Amino acid sequence: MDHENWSIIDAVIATSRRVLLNGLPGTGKTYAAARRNVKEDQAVYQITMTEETPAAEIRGHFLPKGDEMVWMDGPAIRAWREGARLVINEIDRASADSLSLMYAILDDPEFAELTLPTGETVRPAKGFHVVATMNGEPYDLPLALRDRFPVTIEVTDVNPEAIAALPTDLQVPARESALVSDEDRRLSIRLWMEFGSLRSKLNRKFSSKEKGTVMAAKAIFGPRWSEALRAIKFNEYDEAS
Amino acid sequence: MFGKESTRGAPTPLVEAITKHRGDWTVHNQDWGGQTDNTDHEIWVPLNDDPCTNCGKSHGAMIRGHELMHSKLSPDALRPVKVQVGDKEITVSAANVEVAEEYRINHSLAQIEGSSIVADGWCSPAIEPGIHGVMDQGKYVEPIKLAVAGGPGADDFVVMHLSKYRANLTKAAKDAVSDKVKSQIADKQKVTSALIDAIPAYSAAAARIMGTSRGKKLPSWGQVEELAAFLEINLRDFNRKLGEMLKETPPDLEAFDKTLAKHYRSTKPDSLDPDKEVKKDGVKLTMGEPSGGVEDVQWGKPDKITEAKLTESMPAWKLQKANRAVEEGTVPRYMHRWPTDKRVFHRTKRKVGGTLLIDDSGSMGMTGEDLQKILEAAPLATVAVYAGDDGGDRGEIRVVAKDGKRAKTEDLSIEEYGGNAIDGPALEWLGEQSYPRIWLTDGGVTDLNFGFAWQTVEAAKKLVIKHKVTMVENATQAAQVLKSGKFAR
Repeated sequence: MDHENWSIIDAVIATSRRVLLNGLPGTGKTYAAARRNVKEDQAVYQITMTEETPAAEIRGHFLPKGDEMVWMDGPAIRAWREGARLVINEIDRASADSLSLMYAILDDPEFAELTLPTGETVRPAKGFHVVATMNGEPYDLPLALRDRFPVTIEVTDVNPEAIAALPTDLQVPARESALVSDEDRRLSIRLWMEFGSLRSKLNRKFSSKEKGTVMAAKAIFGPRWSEALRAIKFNEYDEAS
Repeated sequence: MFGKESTRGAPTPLVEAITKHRGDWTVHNQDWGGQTDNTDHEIWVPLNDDPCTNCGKSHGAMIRGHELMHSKLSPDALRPVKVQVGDKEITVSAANVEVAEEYRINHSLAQIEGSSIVADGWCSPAIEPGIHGVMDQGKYVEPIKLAVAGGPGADDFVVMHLSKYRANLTKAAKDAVSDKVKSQIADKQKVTSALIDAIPAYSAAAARIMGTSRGKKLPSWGQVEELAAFLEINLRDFNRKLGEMLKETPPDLEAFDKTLAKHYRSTKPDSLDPDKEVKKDGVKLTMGEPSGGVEDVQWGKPDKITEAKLTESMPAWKLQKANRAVEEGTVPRYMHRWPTDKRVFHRTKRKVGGTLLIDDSGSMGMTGEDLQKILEAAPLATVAVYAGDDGGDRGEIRVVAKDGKRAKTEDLSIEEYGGNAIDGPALEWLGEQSYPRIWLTDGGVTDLNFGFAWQTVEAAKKLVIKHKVTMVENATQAAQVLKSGKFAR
């Protein structure tokens, strides 16, 4: 297991004001971005970018309330105001509209400021920091955006916290199969999490470990159920020294 | 179907989750059989559980499990290993290491998933021709290797197919017309029975060495080396015993006595009376000093071992491998025979070789016609004549036919010498040549000490036994021996 990878991630999240995590899906990037090193009482705001996410959704917009229009802060401005953590998922999918706003939000805190349509100028409060995630390569990002993430870490291993949360017998197969580069054969950590949970419930329901396990495997892994179970079983055995 | 293709919706093995060879792997689909490359991280397995078109069983899960086990346990490559056995260090061939490793893989698979998964891999219609094929080719230790490599229970499977093979031989023996074929079939039957008897012991030894299931521990590499060393020693021994069993036709020494009796009016060498006049080829022989033993025999030394100019070639068609139609095979070549004898398959018949040594003393020797007769029977035979200086210590061994070429008739006789004297060295030369080793002689052997006496006869007999020589009296007999395949070996 590449312990160093996650040690570095642990060290930099929240310590650095802007961190970008990229790597294979299902390795626990989003989980880490939202949970790691969050201070007590510190809010976390999460947004997930799509090609159609407008800047207004991130910054804020007016909402009709009775006879008048009321300003509503978006997650980015709220995070600025509160000194909170802003998690931006799938940052590489940001639309042109939201990208421009993103540059402003991600500016160095010393210079960052934004005047809202209400006329109010806001600046990031102390404690504000950003953790962004993406599945592709950082080189896919526009240079200006890439430049705003001096700390970019490729996640090469599965989040140990996610692995530790699995039943012991699933930990090795889950970790290894989640890192397979061939997409056709990869089994994400989410599938294993779900399998672990469903297996436990079905085993109780049918009062049969074998029946519950097979049913859960078939439901989660489809035609690959037997090979997934084989991977679990094989890992219970070691070569004698 | 073979090659990299989408594995979506297929029971693709999670090799990365099992292997000890970390890194990215490529999984290829292969409909039959499996292969694992632990160096380049590639695995070829059936990505389906479809029933086999030959036997109806589904082999996919077994093959995937087997190959996954290779990725989990096997080293990058299987090489020869040195193993300490007692106070000796032996080198075990890579082939035997592979057999032992295959056993460990199947043993481990059975330990984890139960023995029935291993049996799922055995496809009778596909494996039976392979077993029968190696038996036909004389690769007799292969069934043992297969029985071991196949893992627990494979011995019964292999023995079953060997029993079928033996039953086929019994049937074939009834139909065989020539003595030679009958003798060959009898040999195969003996070997097949020996294999059927031996295989369970090898299987039991493999099981003992790998041990019974010990919790969740799979056999170690050390156990593989131990089994490989066991195979190295015992298969070599088995092969040697088989060789002895098949070559146990001893030289016919009675023929020696009969020949002597015919030519010298004496049935036993020790009755050769020194005072009695003994003639060879009508010439009175000097009987040597009767006192002394076989160890005192002193042969002459051939001063020349030559090769006559081999200018005459046998017709090319006689040297080519003969083809024959048989009932079993892989590629039908003679479909026109189907309505008649059903022998539609083709098999190549090896041309006979061997070595013939001819006593060229006195009136012995060989005519051009004799040589032709012999070469008709064995076109690739090596034929040599020899003669010594009677009363002297010199002589010549002259090769007159070899590799399908023969000397002219005028070169078949050694004019320079007319006696024996070098029978012993000539037999030693014959002992270095390929089987069958045939000696055309009248049995009248002489040396420098005794001349023609019981001592020289006994010394010659010892060499005949040592080198497993078949004695014949004339070219016709020699040709018969070569054709029948019945000779000392």
